Amino acid sequence: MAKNILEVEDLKIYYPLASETFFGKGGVVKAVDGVTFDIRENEVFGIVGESGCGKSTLGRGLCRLDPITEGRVVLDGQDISKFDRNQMRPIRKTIQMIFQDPYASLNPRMSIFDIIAEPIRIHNLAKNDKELEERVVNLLRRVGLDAYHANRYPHEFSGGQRQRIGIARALAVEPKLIIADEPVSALDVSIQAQVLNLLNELKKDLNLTYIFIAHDLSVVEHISDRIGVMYLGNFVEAGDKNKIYKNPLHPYTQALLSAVPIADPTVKRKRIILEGSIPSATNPPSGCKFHTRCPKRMPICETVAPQRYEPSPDHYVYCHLYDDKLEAQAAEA
Amino acid sequence: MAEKKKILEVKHLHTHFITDDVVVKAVDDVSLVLEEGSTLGIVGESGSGKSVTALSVMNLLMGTKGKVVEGEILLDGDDILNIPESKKRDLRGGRISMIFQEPMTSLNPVMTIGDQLIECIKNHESLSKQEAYDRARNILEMTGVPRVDKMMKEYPFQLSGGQRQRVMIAMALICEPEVLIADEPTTALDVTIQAQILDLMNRLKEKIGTSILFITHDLGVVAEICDQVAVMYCGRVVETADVYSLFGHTAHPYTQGLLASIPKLGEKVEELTVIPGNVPNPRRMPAGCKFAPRCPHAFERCLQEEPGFYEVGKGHFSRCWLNAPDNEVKGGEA
Repeated sequence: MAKNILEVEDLKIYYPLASETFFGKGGVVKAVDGVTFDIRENEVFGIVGESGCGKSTLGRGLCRLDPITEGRVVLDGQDISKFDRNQMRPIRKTIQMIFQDPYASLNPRMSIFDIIAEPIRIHNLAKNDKELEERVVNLLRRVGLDAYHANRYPHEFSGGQRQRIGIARALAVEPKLIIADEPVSALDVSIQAQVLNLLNELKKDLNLTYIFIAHDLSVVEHISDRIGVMYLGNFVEAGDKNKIYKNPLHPYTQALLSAVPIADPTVKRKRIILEGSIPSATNPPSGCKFHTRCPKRMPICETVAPQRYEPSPDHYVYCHLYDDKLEAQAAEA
Repeated sequence: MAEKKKILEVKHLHTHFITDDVVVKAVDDVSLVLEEGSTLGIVGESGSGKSVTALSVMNLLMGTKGKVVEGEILLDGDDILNIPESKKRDLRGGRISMIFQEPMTSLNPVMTIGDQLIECIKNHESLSKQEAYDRARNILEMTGVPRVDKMMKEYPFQLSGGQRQRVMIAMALICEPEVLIADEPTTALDVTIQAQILDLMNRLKEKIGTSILFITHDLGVVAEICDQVAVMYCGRVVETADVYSLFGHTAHPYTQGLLASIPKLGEKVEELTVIPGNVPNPRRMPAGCKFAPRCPHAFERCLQEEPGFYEVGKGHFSRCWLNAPDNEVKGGEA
């Protein structure tokens, strides 16, 4: 089995709210509330969930763009969760990020050359200007652009091309792990397919590992090897992609998958329509956070948060339905 | 089978945006038919002209550089394009109404939900205060929002995205319009909320008897909700058919490309099929077929001459030389 490149243990990221606001006394937003998983070398780990579930915060926390409240993040055997700015510098050569909005993530006043050269300069990866130029041109070609694009500015490019530039910038420091936060959701479908293919090709050629954060379940299924499904700051189900998509165990995953529209009018499925919307992360429900919307809720769900169960190897689910002891008790009663 | 009544007909619509140096043909000879009680989907990528088509139908282009330069728009046989502005006002929200992608920016932030709904009724009908209130409350209840009475007194910022979209739908349907235009109504919403809203639209369509023009970029949503589909590219309808023929016997290479490029749930492919290149710049449209530069089947004629709209099955049309009756030999390779 491939070795783990990243291990995340009980990670918590809380944001304090302003202590006293117009709307009353503030509390904390538990954006990520105890997430545990590991990522193997050269795999794509997909994180899916709806808006506000904490998936972006999780991604930003892993590369320490957001402060970590509690828990461990172990990169290549090294716990980076308490590193300060200076200690993080060399780490940023290993972890890079690609962002959702290709319009907001490129500095409009920098040429494409400078955008891609910046990380190479910061990390002193080129001996001289000639080598720097060579590297930038190679990166541009690598992502399907041309050398002459280097002298242009972001506004001259389409959304898909800008996303390619963002990818080239991430690749500039030869990272091992790339965290891609919704990299294709701002793109049209025909362009989305181009970028997904590029990401897959780069992964194979450069031996990369991805954390792929997205809300589109079909896209995540296409690109991932293993996934984690998030709801209100926690994983509800995680593990092998094929197992989860073929046999979703958590009621939330089941509802989520049934809600995906299928581009085939002859397929008629029974949709599980969830009631209501995601509760507020400042005041999440007690017990299992999904119990307020769960079609299969039991009395215990309202008070006790479920543990992690592993009904089959590399298929984890956080739901009382899969607690054998509970089942035994129910059978006795 | 008896022909269904055509509730909305768009005939040879041309909408142009006239800027200082150039004329952009955002909608270029578009014809659509919406049958009574059915849902017509308009699919296309950004810049295909689908939203401008909707705005043209709603007569909402004032304030932009856009102008309908040619064509007819008939609502149940009545011309709604060449009528005075005051008549258009009666039409909008009354016989024909629209919901938008972003429910927050479409609602008035300083008016309560109840007042906004009541304002809409009062613009079109003369009802007493109490009657208008009851009507607003009823329609809001139909959309399945929780705590209806409380929500009537709340402001948009107090609601979630899904709830706001329900309020928008309530507002659009409050005068029981003949046609509802929905422009990407679920794009800003999460999948589970999208499922709720699509379900709601389907239920209300039957209850109120409204026909829907549904604009989206999502072929999955089209397959779930539409009866008829028109695929747009560069301001033109390139293929139109009933939903089963469109997905079952896709004729136009652009539609085929779109369908192939979306990852499908439960389907394993190493590499997605892509449509190469980008949508052409509207200021520099290619001569001939607009899709030819990106089309895997393009041959000489495509680059020079624009194809007509050819019938490939009953009610199924495709704008492609491959589907031209006189072109069977040349198009043989496909």
